[in-house]
Formats: sequence, structure tokens, C-alpha cells
Amino acid sequence: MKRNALTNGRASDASERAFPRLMIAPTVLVMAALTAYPLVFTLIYSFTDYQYLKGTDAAKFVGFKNYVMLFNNTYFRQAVLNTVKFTLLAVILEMVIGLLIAVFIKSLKKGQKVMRTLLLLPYLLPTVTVALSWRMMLSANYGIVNQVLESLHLPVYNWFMDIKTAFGTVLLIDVWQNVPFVFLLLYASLQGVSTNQYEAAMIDGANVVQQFFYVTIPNIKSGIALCALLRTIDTFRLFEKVNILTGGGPAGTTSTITQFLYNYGIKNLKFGFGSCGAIVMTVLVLILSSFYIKRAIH
Amino acid sequence: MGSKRITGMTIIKGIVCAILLIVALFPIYWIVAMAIRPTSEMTGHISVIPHALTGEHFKQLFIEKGFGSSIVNSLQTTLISTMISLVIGLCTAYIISRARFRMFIKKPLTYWILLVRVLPPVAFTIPLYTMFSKLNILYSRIPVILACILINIPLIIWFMISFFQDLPVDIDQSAQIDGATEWQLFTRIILPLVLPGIAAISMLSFMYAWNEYTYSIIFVQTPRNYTVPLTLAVLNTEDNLTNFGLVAAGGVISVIPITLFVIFAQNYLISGLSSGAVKE
Repeated sequence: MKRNALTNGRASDASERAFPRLMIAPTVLVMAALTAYPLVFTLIYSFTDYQYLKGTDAAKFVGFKNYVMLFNNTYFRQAVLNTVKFTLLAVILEMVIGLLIAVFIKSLKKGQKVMRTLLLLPYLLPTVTVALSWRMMLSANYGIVNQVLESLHLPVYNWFMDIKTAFGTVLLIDVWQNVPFVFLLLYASLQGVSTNQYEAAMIDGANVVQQFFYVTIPNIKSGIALCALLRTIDTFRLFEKVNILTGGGPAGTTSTITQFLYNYGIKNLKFGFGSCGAIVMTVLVLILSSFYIKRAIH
Repeated sequence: MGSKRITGMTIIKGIVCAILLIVALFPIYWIVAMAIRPTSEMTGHISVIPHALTGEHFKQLFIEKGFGSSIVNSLQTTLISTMISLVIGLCTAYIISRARFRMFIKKPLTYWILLVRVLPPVAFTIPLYTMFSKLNILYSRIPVILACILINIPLIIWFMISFFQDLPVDIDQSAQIDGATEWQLFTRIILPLVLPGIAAISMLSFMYAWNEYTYSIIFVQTPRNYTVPLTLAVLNTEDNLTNFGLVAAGGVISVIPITLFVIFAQNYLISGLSSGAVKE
């Protein structure tokens, strides 16, 4: 009640009332100009034959022509399939490996902090640098990986050019970089699990595996769910590694939705078609993340 | 429960730790190892540890490839965008966190910010490109700066709201009774109390802007404006030996800022990154 009295008394002061508006105005302006306005125009452009070089004035409304073209485009369908496959595999691998590492590090008696920092490093590096380092290691002629495989008499590949290996190689590199994020988040969640529960489980005769499934997992369920969602949202827009390592090839086997749009809507300046693809991707992302948004807002 | 069994466990755990560290760190080691070895050591049998050390790749990178200007571009866009996002983001996060400021726009803005965090960059790029072109700023550094601001403002607001909320409202009330204006309360009392949070999110914002690639490759039109990631990506055009050293040297330089953060401020950095698990 005291707070109410304070607020009412001050609300009469005009300059004090202006304060929150001034404080929030820059964000509203920036978000309106850089996100709301573009999103609306992406939608509008998606119904036009807008080509950048001809300008917006020459663009005509073409109805759903772009959408029909897009859904009939085999490369696009392949890119959607690749993206879904990639996201599913990457998130599952990252979650399983990240969780195992988190539980393992938590069980160490010494050196938890050092290990946590060192294992986190891959996630912190610029994605471009990560991609280039792996490119050098996996180079067909001058790479250390092929050299080691050859000396062990194992088959070697041209990792990024071979249809058999390109997808898996990019997947592996992405998993390598993002497991540390999952590990860090789950390791932080594990700190909140009380040791009493493990002691109680031990008294009941639960072994290590049972403790993992009946104590650890239920306790960090919400951390696991949140982490999986964040990773899903980020993996779905995968572009940097693909663009640098394969450009979507060979034969489109590593093309993701963003890479497809970059090649066939942005780089060739066919902005109407590109916008249409962007809208389709936006809808897919919204469906994927509706759960996350609901949770985060409460 | 003999001590033997405990030792056995310790050894196994040590081995697992070693394997984890090798897998996590070898690619990082490799880029350093490639950067400092002469080109002659990159063919034939490649040794894990370089035999001879050389600075030739770094020299060539700066003298022939003008890498210095890429670093200047990157630092400029990163620092300017981080500063602007911080100022704007902190003000908004504070207003959203305080129930006494009642504004209709707070709720829709909060939803919108979350949506921006989730939407893919391609949702915005094409109209932004058109807009920048019409404003005649496509050949300046402004587009990339704005892109980094667009990435970082939602992160900063989302991160800082919980920090502001954790401060008891009593602080606000006692300051107001003492006659402080809202602005004084915010800058002199509230902000110093959330400095750890500001430190953590500043580093994350810097990192995201420094690593930014997707918007940059679409918006940057001329090599004059290339940032470090763009220059590196362009160097990496072919499986060309002469470029391996250059790419590696550039890669080493690209990780300097984050290395400094890890060495001098890892607690802030890690608390920033892991905050997502505890708070939502």
C-alpha cells in the first residue's frame, strides 16, 4: 500500500512520467526499424516478383506464384529435409553427449572448474575459425586426419566433397562446437540437485545407472527441455559452417534452408523468391519454438 | 572398499578427462600449430608438433592481405554495436523489470524481443538490404553495426531483466524518499549494483558481434569493409597450400579476444552463458 501511495504521488509529476517512456523509446524505435518493418516487408515481397536490380518500383504482385515455385523446387525440398534431419541428429547427439560429460565432470573430486573452462572453449570460438580449423585437419591431400587414417590402413575420404561423408562431417563439426554449451547448461542445473536424494537412493540400493535415471534426470528435466529447445532453434538456422565448408554441396546433400535461400534468393538478388522462402522458414521456426516462447513468458 | 578400487576409478577418470580434453582442444591446437610452421612442413608427412617456427604467415597476412584493416573494421563494428546495445538495452530492461512503471507497451515489447531472439536472420535481411541501399549506406560499416545491435539488444534485455528483478524494491523507495530523481536512482544506485551482470553480458555481446558472419556476408559489399570472419572465409577459397598458413594465422588472431576474456574474466563469462539454465 505504501508503494501505491508513492507511485500515485509521483505520477502527477510530468517529468517523472516521461522517464520510462524516454528509457524505452530507443529500443522500440530500433526494434521497429530493424525487425518489425523488415518482417512486414519480407511478407509483402514474398507475393511479388521483386528483383533487386530492377528496384522495388518495378516489382509486381504475383500472388502465390513464389510459394508454388518454392514448393515445387526439388532443391528447396531437399534443403528442408536436410535441415530437419540435421537438427534432429545434432540436438540428440549434443544432448546425450553433453549430459554424459556434465554428469562425469560433476563426479570428479578435483579439477571440476578447470575442466569446465577448457571443455567450454570450442563453443566460444568464432564459427568461421572452427570451420577453417576442421577444414585444414580434414583436407584431402594435406590433412592430418587422412594421414593418420592412411597410416592405420583405414579408408580415407575427400570429406567435404564426397556425397557419402559431407553431411556427417558437417554434423560432427557442429556437434563438436555445441556440445560444450549443452554440457555447461546441464552442469549448472546439476549443481541444484541435493546430495540427500542420492544418499536416499543409495540406501534403497540403487546402483549408479538407476541413480542416473531415477534421481539425476527427473531433477534436471526442465534444464534438459530448455537446452534442447535452444539448440533446436539455433541448429535450424544453420548456415555459417555449411556456407564455408561445402556451400551446400555436393549435390545439395548438405544444403540447409538458410543456405538454399542464400544461394537462390539473396546472392542472385531474386528478392521476391528469397522473401517467400524466408517466410516459409519463419513459419517453421515459429511452430518449433511456440513451446519455448510460452514457457519463457510463463 | 579397498583403496585399490578407488585408485582404479581415479585412473579411469583421468583417462576419460584426457580423451575429452584432446577431442575438445586438438582443433584449437591445430590452428596454432599450422600458423607457426613454415609452408614446407605442410606437405608430405605432417608432424603433430612443428619442427621449425616462423612468423612468415602473420607477416604475409598483414602486409599482403591487409589483415590490419579487417581487425580495425571488426573492432569498430564490435565496440560501437556493443556500446549502443548496452546503453539501449539496460534502460529498457530496467523499465520492464519495475512494476511501478505501468505502460501498455511493456508486454508486447517483451514478447517481440523474445520473438526476435527466435526468428532466423533471413526473416529480416532482404528488406534491410533494400532499406540500406535506398539510404545509401550499403557501402559503409553501418549495416553490420546495426545487424549486431539487432542481435544483441534482445539478448541484453532478456539477460538483464532478471538481474534488475533480483534487487529489492526497497532500494528504489528509500532513494526516492531521499529525493533522488528516477535518473539518479538508475545511474547512481541501480546500475552499480548490477555491474557483475553488465560485465557478463558485455563480454557475451562483444563475442557475438566479433563472431558475426551471416549478416556480414550479406550486407558487406566491398573488401574495404571486411570483418575478420569475412576475410578468413574469403582466404579459404580453395584447397590451396599457400593459404593454409594465412588462414591459420588469421584464425589465431580471431580467437585473441575470447582468450583474453577466458583468462581474465572467465567467471563472468561462464555465469553469463549458464544463466539460461537456472533462470529462464
